[in-house]
Amino acid sequence: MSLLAVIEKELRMFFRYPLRVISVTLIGIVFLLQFVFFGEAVLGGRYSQILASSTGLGDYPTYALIGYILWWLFASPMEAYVWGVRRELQRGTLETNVLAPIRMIKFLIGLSLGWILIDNVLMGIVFIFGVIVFKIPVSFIIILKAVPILILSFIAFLGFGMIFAGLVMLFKHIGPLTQIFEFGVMFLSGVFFPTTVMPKTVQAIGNAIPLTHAIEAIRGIFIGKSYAELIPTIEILLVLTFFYWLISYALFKYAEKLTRVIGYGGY
Amino acid sequence: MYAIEAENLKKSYPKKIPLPFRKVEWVNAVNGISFKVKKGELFGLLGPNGAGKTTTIKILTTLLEPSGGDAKILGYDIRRDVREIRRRINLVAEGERTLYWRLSAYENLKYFARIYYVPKSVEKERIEELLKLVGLWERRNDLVMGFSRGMKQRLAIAKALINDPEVLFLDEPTLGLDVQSAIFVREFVRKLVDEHKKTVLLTTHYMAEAEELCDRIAIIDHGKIIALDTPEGLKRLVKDEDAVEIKVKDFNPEKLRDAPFALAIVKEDPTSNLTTLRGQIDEEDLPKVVEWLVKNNAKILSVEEKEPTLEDVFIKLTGRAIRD
Amino acid sequence: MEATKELRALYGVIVKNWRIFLSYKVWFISDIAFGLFFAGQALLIGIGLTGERNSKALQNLTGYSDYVAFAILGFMVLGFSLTFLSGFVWSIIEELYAGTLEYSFAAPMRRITFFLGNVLLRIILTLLYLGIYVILFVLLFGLSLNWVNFLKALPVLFLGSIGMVGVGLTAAGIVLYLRDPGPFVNVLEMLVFALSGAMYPIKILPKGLQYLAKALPYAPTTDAVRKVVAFGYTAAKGEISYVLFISAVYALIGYLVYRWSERQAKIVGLKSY
Repeated sequence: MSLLAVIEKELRMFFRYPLRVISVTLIGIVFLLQFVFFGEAVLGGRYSQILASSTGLGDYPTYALIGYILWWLFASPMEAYVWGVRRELQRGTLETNVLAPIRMIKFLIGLSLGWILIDNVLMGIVFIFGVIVFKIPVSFIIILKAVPILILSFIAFLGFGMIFAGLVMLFKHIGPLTQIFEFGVMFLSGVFFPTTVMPKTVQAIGNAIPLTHAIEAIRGIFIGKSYAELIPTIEILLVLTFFYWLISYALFKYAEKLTRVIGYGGY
Repeated sequence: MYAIEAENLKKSYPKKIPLPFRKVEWVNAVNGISFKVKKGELFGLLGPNGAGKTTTIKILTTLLEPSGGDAKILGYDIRRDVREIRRRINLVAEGERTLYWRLSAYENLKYFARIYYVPKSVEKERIEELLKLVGLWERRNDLVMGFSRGMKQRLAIAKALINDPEVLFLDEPTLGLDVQSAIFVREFVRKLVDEHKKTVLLTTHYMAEAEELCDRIAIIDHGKIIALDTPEGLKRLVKDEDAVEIKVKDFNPEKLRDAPFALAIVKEDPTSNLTTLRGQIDEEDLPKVVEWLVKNNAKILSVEEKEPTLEDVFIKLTGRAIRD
Repeated sequence: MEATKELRALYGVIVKNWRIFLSYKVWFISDIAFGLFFAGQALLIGIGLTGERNSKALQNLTGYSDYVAFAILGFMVLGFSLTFLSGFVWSIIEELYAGTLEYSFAAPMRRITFFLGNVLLRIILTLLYLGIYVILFVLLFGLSLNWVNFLKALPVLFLGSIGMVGVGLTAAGIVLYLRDPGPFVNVLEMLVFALSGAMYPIKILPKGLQYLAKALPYAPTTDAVRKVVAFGYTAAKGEISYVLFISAVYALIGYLVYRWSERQAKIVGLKSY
C-alpha cells in the first residue's frame, strides 16, 4: 500500500501538467529523428552493406530504433532515481518522507517506479512512432519473442541504475554528470553505430554495461535468431545483473548509513 | 516510563562527506544534552538560532544519528528501534516547504496516511477530522501552492497528526507566521496536550511563546542546556532584582564588552541608530550605569523598569539576549 | 543621462547572470560534452554506415561530401540559434520560478534592457563555446574548413539572429502567461532542433515539415551559412536574401508580441509560483 501511495503521488504530480507529457515525447522523437535522418542522408538510403557485415542487421532505421529504445529503457531507472531524489530535495519534502515509517529503499523504489512507468509509456509511443515513420519490419512474433529478453534487461538496468540512487544520496548534484554518463553510454553500447568502429579498449568497457548485450540480443531477434543462438549473450546479461544488484545494494546501504550522520540537506 | 529521555546527546557534523580514506573536519552542534520529558507534558527547547535545537530534534526523531550519548523515545532506542519510533511520533519541521505544493491538501494527507501505515478503515475519517480541526476542510481540494504561510503550517500540523502520534515534535512552529496564525498554532498545541493527552516537544526562540506555552523549558545555548525548569522556576532565578530597559541613541554596542555591568542588546535599529539595552541593575547602581553610557557618547532616550521575564534569565546566564 | 543609466542597468543584469552562471559549473562541462557527443556521433555513424569519411549521397543532396563538417556547422549554428530562444525564455522562467521577476519588472529600467541583458551574456558565452568547439573539433575530428569563408559567414549568422531574437521575444511574451512554462519551451526547442537542418538537410523531411522549416529563421540561416562557408557570398545570394526577408518578418512579429505582453502584464499581472 505504501509503495502504491508513492507511485500514485508521483503520477498525480506529473499529470497535473499535461504539457510535460508532450514535451518528453517530442524530445524523444526529435532525438531519434536526428540520428536516423543523418544516417540516411549520409547513406543516401536506408541499407548499409558495412553495417550488415559487422552486425548482421543492415537496415539502419531498424538498427537505430532498437538501440535507441533500449537505451531509453536503460537510462530510465537512472534518471528516475537521480531526479526523483533531487526533486524531493528541491521541494523540501525528502525529510518529511524519511521520517515516515516506510523503508527508505521502498520509498526510493516507489519514487522511481512512478517515473519509470510514465517514461516507458512515452517510450512505447516513440517506438510506435518510429515503426510507422520508418516503416520498420516488425511482426507480432518478434515482439513476443523480445518480451522475455526485455524483462531480463530491465531487471539488469534497474540494478545498474540503483548505483545512482546510492550516489545521489551522497552527492546531491550529480544530475549533469548522470547525463554525461548516459550520453557516453550511447558510444559504448552501440546505440546508433556498431561498437566495432571503436578502439578495442573502449569496446571492452562497453561490454561491462548491460545495455550493450541487451541491444545485441534484441537485434538478434529482429534478424530471426533463435533463443539458442542467443544463449551466450543472455548468460553475460545474467552475470552482469547479479553483479550490479550486489554492488548497488551495498552502496545504497552504505549511503543510507552515511546520510544519517551528515543529514539529508546539503552538500 | 518517560516519553523522551536524552542522555548526554552529542552531535558533530563533518564539513565534507566522510568517505573512506578522507580526512574531514567535524563541527560540534550538540555538546552533551540530557533531559527527560514526562508523558503528557509540553516541553520547550528555548535558545537562539544555531544553539543546536534543530539538531536535537532531528536526533530525537531518528533523522540523524547522534555522535555520542543515548536517547529513548517511549522506551525505544533511537539507534536500534528506528521504525518502531517513527510509527509513534511525528514532526512539524521548520519552514514551509515540507509538503507537496502540487498536491491538494487532501491528497497530501492521503499520501502521508499511507506511508505512515494508517489503516484503510480509519483513513478517510481521520483525514476529514484533521482537516476540520485545522480549519482547512473547505479548501481540501485546492493545491497547497495557493495557500498562505499560515494555512501551510496548519496543514503541516494536520500531517503531523496523521498517524495519531503519542509524541509530537515541532521545530519553530510559529516562525514566519502572521500574528493570528501564530496564536492559532499556540492554542492548538496547548489543546493537543490538555485535551488529547499528547506529549509535545517544541523548539522556539520566542521568549513569550516558551513562557506562555510550555510546562517546562530547557534553555539551550552553544549545544548545551544551561537551565531547565518550569517557566516560574526559571524566573525565580531573576526574581530578586528588577529588569531595566534603557533606550539609547548613537551608542556603539562594541563598547559593551568593557562595561563593568551586565547589559545585553535586545534590539538594534541601525537606520535610526537606536539601541535597546536590558539588564538587571540595582536601584543604587543605576546612576553609575547612566553615567557610563553618557561617557560613551550614548544619548539616553528612556529608562524603564520591567517585570523580569525569561529574557532576563537568558541574559543572566549568557550575557546575551536572544534575538531574531 | 538616460542612455548611461540604461547602460548601467544593462550591466547590472549581465553581472547578475554571470554570477548565476558561475554557480552552475558542472553544466558548463555538460554543455561542452554535449557538443563533443554530437560531433562524435556524426563521425561514428558515418563511419559505421559507410566506412568512409566522405559521402557521395550527401554531396548530391547538399554539396558537402564531408559529413562531419556538415554536421558540425549545423550544430554550431543551432547552438547559436538556441541562445536566443532558450536564453531569452529560460532566464525569464528561472526568475519566474525564483520569484524575482516582478522585482526586475518593477524596476525603472526598460524591459527590453532586461531582455537584452539576459541575452547578451548568453551570446558571449555561446561564442566562447563555439570557440572551444572549433578548437576541439579541429583537434579531435580533423575538421578542415575554408576559414576565410568561415569568417565571412559570421555576418550572415548575425543577420539571421535578428529573426531569432524576434522568435525569442515572441516566445518570451507568451511564456509569461503560462502555468508551467518549462515544458512549453522544451517543446519549442525540440521543434527548432528538428526543423533547423542542423544534422540533416531539410530536403529529407516530408513536404509539410519542409515548409514549416522554411517558415522559421533557423534552417534558412543554417543553409546560408553552410553555402557561404563552402562557396562564398555570390553563390549564396539567394539564401542570404531569404534570410534577410525572414529576419525582418520575425523582428516585426517579436516587437508586436512584446508590446502586447507588456500591456497584458499590467492588466492581468504575472503568474506566481
